[in-house]
Amino acid sequence: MSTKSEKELIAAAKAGDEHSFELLILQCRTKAYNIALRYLRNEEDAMDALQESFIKIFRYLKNFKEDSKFDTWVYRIVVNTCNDMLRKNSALAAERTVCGDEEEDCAVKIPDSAPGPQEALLRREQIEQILKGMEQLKPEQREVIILRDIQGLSYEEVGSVLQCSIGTVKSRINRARGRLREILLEQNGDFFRLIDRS
Amino acid sequence: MYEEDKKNQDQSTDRELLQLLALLSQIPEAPVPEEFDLRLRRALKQEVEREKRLRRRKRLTAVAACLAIGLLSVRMMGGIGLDTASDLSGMEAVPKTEYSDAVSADGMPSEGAASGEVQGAEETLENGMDLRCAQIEEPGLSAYSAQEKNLENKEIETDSAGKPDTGGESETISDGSSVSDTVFDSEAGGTMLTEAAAGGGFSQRGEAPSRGELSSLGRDAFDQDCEQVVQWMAEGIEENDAQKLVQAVTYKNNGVYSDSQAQQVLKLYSDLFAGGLTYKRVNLTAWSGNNIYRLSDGSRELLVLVSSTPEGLKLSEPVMEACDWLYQQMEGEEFTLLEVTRDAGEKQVEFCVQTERVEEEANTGSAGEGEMRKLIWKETESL
Repeated sequence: MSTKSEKELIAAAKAGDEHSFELLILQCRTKAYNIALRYLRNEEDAMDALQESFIKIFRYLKNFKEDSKFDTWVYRIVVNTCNDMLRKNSALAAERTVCGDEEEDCAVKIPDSAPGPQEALLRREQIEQILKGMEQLKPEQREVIILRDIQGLSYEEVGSVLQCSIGTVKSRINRARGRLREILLEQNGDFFRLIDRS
Repeated sequence: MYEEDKKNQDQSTDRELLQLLALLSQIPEAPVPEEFDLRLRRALKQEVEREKRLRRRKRLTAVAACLAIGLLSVRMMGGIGLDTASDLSGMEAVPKTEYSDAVSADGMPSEGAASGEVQGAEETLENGMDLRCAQIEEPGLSAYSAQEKNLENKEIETDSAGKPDTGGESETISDGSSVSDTVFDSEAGGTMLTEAAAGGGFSQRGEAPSRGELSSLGRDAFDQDCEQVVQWMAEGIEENDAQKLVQAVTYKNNGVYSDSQAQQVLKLYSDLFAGGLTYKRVNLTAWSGNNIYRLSDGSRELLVLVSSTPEGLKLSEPVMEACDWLYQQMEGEEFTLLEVTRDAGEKQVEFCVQTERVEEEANTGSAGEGEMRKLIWKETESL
């Protein structure tokens, strides 16, 4: 989508055109969904959060001043909505894990791109451990890991989404990574040795 | 040795962090579930509908707010004595009344305001005058006690009480303010035409305001409502209309004063008044929630008290109050009420009645004249 067409779509959506709005969110909805999924660790909740976020965006689109990029604005709203939902369902969220007790409930889709089935299984286990370890991080540490390391947003974008400076983002992400490493080692002392082997 | 260990440890940490980052970056994007599009479309449609409803409601609310403000403004204009229709249109209302209620800047009637415009008699009231109607002290009429005390404390100068209407001069009260007068001229069409009637307030609402309303409406509205009440009373007497009298006496509790009682009172009034009734406010400057009017046909007069009660405005007057008692005293005998005199000092009312002529001896065929009696009703006597 070119910048011009995005602007046109924004203008049309501001005028109340639903179709333009759908086209506008098409480009950022996958990333927005994944952010919500990593935050809430549940597909159903992630869809609820995403739907609520898009309705908010539709409702308040006329307030969007186009100072920032549209997708960054969308991610900010998704993050805020997820935080609201987590606050509301804090007890419920605490009970949830990245992967439920049953394998089919697992919210994390782990790729099977490794050459051999054994390696694939090992990597899957490692990613599961990482995501489980992330649950023990503080919320502000977890969100920078999600936005920067998993979703691949730039420091500027992360700063824009979280409404803080780049310096804050960098220091927060360093602390978050170090803390995650410690957690993984606490869970499994051979965690990184196993990675070396694989 | 220590530094080397530390260096090795740092290198190990960095390597582990790189491995961690590599793993994090390998977490793939999960596809958005297909059902999400349908859910979102449905939610968007609902949102659009909700916005439409909201916009409609806002529009309706705005219209309702404008209407409410308009109604309030009209009511407030009525409250401050403005004739809305004429004031807003810039056209002068047809002068239907002789009533002049010029009000000074502080909201009090100005001295001589009614001067030269009142058909009513020039009349001032003596200090300690008999405004204190006997019923004022009645236990059941405690609402008047404040007014009674108020009247007792006022000093009013007078020339000649009961002097026939000469017109043109206002009453003088010792506190220096004049009274505002209203004249009901039944001969000029038999309709009371006051500012209240022309300008709204009680006459437009069709019912008297409660005390709470009175305090919010203010003195002018209260005065207008009082005049409406006295107007109804005067019209009821003029037209021998019991319903109108009932309406004047009580509003919110019509059952208290029945039509038959009203008929009896009307009979007494018709005895008393020859017609051509006028009424005139004989009020003090201080506002105590009570207004006093003098109802007169030029030769006889009655003082009428209009006061605010929790139920609304109440109208009271000795003939009305003592009517039942009077009929009881006459024990079914036909009579004509000739005069009503109040004795302020003793707080009693004297009714002078003439009994009907009676048939004397059947064989003579002559009829004797009825006798004149004086009945004194004291405040302690039950009505």
